[in-house]
Amino acid sequence: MSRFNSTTPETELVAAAQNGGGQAFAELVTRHKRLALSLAARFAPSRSEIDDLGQEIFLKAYRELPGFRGESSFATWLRTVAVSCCLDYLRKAKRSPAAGGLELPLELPDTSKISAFEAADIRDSLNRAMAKLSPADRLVITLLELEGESVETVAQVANMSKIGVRVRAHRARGKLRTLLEDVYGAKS
Amino acid sequence: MAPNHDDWLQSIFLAARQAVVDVAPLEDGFENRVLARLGREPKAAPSALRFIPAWNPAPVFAALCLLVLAWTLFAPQTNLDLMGGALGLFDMESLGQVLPVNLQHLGLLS
Repeated sequence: MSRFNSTTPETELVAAAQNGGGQAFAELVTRHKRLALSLAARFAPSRSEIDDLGQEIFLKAYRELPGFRGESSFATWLRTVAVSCCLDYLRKAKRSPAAGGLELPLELPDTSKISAFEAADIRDSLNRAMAKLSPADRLVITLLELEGESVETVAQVANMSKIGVRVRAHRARGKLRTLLEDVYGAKS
Repeated sequence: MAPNHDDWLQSIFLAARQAVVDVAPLEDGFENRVLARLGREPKAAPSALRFIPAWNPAPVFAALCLLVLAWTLFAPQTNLDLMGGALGLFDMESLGQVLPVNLQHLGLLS
């Protein structure tokens, strides 16, 4: 039986995983898989690609784990790794765009004023418009507007300057506005 | 840009932000799939061999370096001092004394 479980302190898990402990790393995956899969679901269009991208995030994390010095929490560090993976994924997807819609259901909060059908429709339209942005612009606008991250956090995890993030976000909003107005009709 | 344009875009972002994909169906057995892929990953190369990929972009340059090194060490006119200098075993002063002799031998220095 594994000596690592849900009560094991995270620092102990990280130290064991850095020494090649597969069980410790598996426990880290269990704790943080939702973070990785949720972020992957913002970019990948299908169930299999979300799963694949989620796995890529943890494979990269495992390879880079020896360089993690514990200056931030493991979750923060993993988010940086995940963002880097998602950017790589977007760059590859730009060369060979994936077809097909999302096969997973949407989770709407109880307080939502729109139906699941409307939400899915808006999401699809937004995704189609976002697919026309550059990978870096799409990453920035997703983290800022859909994940609700601050400019400082996006700059940190995406390895950009704060000004660079603001400029990209401004440019991406302008493009999205134009693209979405074509879909929904110009708003006056 | 008119403020209502931004409000309209923000309302779309808000709706999309609420429409979170339910990833719960993917969570079952996810750890096992990650560990299975980790098991299939090639093992990291020993540290002494990690420099080899750095030569990949310049194989011709790498081959040229090896040829020059081999010529320096094993050419007929090379004596022990020059060989030692090439290997960095002797000081440059002794190399300076030997080099003119070799150049004279090649007919490049009268």
